[in-house]
Amino acid sequence: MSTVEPLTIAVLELDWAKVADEIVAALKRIVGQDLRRRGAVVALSGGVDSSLTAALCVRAFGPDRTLALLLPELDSAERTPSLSRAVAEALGLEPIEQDITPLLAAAGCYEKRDEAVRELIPELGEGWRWKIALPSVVGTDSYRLFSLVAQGPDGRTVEARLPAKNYLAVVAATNFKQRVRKMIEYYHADRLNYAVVGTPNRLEYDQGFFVKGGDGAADVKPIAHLYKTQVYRLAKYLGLPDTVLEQHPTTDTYSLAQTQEEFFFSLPLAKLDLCLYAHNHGLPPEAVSGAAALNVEDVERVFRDIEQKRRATRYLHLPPVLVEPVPELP
Amino acid sequence: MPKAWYRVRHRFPRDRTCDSRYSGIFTAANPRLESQSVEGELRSFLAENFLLGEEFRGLPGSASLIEAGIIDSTGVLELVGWLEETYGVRISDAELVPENLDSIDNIVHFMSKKQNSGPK
Repeated sequence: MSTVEPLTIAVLELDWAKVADEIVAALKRIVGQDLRRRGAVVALSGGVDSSLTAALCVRAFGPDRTLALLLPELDSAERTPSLSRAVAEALGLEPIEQDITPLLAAAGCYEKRDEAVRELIPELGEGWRWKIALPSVVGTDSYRLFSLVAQGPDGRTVEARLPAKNYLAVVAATNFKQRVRKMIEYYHADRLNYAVVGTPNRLEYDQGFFVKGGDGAADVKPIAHLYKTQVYRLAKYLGLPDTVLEQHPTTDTYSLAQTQEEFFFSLPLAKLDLCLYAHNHGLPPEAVSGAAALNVEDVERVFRDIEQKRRATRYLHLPPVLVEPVPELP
Repeated sequence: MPKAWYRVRHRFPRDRTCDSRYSGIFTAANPRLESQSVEGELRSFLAENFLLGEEFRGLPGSASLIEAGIIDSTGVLELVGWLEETYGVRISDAELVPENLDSIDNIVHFMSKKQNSGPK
């Protein structure tokens, strides 16, 4: 009987000084030579991904050629602006802050979204907070359908399964947030002749956790090859504030606090990192079971979920598809 | 909204399980008619909603709809909603498993079981 070499968290450890140098050199080459832009625009969310991206841009272009944007809206967590400001200050950046709530309201984002939600929970109104949730991938082969979780002003919680029509209506309306932010990022990029730098980590990029034409749009994505664990490690190496490193990843999109795990990934991100690494390297479930603290059946479920998400979000990665090739263009 | 959606809903309104006009269709007295009817409507629904009206010829009833790339996670949501609306059943979280929903055969069998177990 052959034995399987167990994976450990050490596989995600890298020479962080070297990683930082390589990304900085790549950013300089891509932005300066390939894109012919003079600097970088980065929108800070208060999370570790955008903070690390900004830190790398500052190393590549200096604080004078790195523009940080703070773009909060009605449902942003109260501490999002202060977290983002702390990062900007630590990096020597003077951010531009714009509350995008009026733009979103004018587009009908909140109104259309609330209409779709009230069809399910008619009493939802002033003082209510809510979010969309997805059950865990662990322990069951059940299909996982989105539900709406709402909390009334009295603390009472209501949960309802989201029909497809309402789910799509809510997602379409809230996607305005990422798209409006990107519109403003490109406004400043055009104004300054800078490149827009995207902030996805490997989990988000691989699994399609982004809005097409929203946070998915960028000129360069310098940390898209790093697992989330590696993002934290590199951010720590670069000396980013502890307040950012201690943040639990959220969507910062719905009024009730919502982790990325419960909205999309269905597994703690450190475990998903290990499973994705194992799956990418063709390792069997037994190899990662111990390090991820999951039984073999659950790792198999995670592997299937990874493939399913790749299939479902393939279209997000595609550029506009031409009916006939235009061979004159690369 | 695709035409087939209206057509199916018109023929099998939501309160059908309480309506004696439809009681003969899904009884065990004629299981062949029942499964053929569900399968035909299901294939129409899948074709209209997930293949833009293109028919999927030759898809075996046992093929996984997810593995075949016909439906994704949003598609499952739509499928469950359609089954509930069309056949007047309530599908619980515990029933949201591949054995019930991952292929045309499984869905037909599942709907037959739901119908025979009475109104929900």
